[in-house]
Amino acid sequence: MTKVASALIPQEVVIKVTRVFCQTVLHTVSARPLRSAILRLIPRTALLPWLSSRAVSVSEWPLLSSPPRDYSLPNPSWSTEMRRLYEYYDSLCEKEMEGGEKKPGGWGRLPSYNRTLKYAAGGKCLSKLLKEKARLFTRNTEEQGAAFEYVVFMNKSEKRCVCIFQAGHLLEGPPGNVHGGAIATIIDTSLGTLAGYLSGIVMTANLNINYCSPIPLGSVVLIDSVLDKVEGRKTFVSCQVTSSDGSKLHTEATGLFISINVGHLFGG
Amino acid sequence: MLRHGLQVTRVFCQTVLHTVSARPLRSAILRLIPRTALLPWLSSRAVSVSEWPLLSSPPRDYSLPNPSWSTEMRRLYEYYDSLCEKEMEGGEKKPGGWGRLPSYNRTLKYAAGGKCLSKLLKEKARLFTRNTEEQGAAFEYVVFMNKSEKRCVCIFQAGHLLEGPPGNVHGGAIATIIDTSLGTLAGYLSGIVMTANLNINYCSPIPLGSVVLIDSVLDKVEGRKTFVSCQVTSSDGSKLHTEATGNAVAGLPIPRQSQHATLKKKMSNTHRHLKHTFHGRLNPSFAYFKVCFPC
Repeated sequence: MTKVASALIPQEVVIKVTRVFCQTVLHTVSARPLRSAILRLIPRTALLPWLSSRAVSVSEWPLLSSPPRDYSLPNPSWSTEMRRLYEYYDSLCEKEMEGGEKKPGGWGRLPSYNRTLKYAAGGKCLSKLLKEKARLFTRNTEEQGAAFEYVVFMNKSEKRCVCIFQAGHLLEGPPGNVHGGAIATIIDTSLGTLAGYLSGIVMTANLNINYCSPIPLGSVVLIDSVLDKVEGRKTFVSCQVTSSDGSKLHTEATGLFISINVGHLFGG
Repeated sequence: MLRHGLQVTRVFCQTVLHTVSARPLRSAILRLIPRTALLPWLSSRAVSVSEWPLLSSPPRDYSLPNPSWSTEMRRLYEYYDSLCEKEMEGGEKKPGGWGRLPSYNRTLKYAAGGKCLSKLLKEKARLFTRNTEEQGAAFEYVVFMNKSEKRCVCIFQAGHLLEGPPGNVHGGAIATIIDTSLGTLAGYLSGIVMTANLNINYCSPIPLGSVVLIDSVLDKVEGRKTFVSCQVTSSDGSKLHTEATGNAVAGLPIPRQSQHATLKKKMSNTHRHLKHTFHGRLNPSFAYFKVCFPC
């Protein structure tokens, strides 16, 4: 093969092509993460026969990387109270048992990733570098237990969702308590998840939050969200943030979410 | 004598090693040297918002320009900075109605305040809007205050860790900077306050990486309640991204039993017909308490 090639193609051309190829590789590899560098160098179509058809979930991941990390699973930073609540709601979830049977349950745990669409052309993100480094606000740190530790359980029949939330040390506002904006963030996440689950892709239009009692840093709270009503494209939801045993009301909030067309989100 | 000396040395070294390995070096040295021994060598220093270990350098002021700031951010900073009161050469003061507020990442370092659940948490705790050292990654903001106009302006640049919808800033991050801005204004005017209510209308998404202006004004003060409102606009003021009203309550907490159930909320028109459905166990009273320190 090489003898034929060397006979047909002049040596200088071969050297030149090799040099250009190596330069391209080096340039690509040094300018971007290795993963995307490899992607750019190999046409995607060449890989198709070797890839099983995979449903693209919320996140679109490079073809050669490992599955994304699900942040809504227990980790060593979770307190005893957090684990207890997790196991309680997890026991209410629908599960597949041995033998193929399904244990019934009204609840379902929602997975949580730290990037929505990895290479979305969407929004008006101002630079490509930003797009690649962008992380979901509530999942923007790898350090376990430092910021937001939360799990969302959804009950579709009751149109209700419960979020178990443990605030880490990076969320301080008043000394020893959680920042009001962090509380607003987890409320927005919880209400938005419920509204989105019921009404498709939504964006927050209004949040009205009443802070009743400060939340101590490191404590575990329950955010119980319910659907109030749906009026056309508007989804009204409300929630209460209580202590883990439900006795103390920390915050209550209402939210209005508007369903949007996907096209609106992508460079509209 | 020698044996005793060796024993003392051994115990001393063990103590030093134990202390140094168990805590950051700074506080380790502090614990080993009695503070009183250092007093003659320290000038009297006004303790500002943060109380810092005696031997450490002054805390970093996060509201100063850094390499991650975009051109637009710098332009706005220089504009408002030129309006500030400054000390000129020769001791004269250039007049100006505005003042830049410094911003630190820890309120009270070893406050016994709040109900922080563990000492470890207290030591590691950082102010939410200043919780990362990486410049330009999360919140980059400066607050300028105009006391005579009862108004404050916050210039905010959102970093890549604040994403919500793809390419745009998270609604909670917007709520956070609004809470910071309104709380700073209310706190500056009314003393120590806590947020009681936030009502935010999101009009237009904010692109990630862009610079916005949060213009906050005082609406009114009713006893312990301070009503403030703000608008989040693009840097040239042309586009309205978000508007919000907030209510902060000054002073110490009041026990819930003695509260009247007068809950006055500002609701947007679209929400006016929606009555709050409280469950039986809930008590819609005004038991608000939060201490809001300067940002």
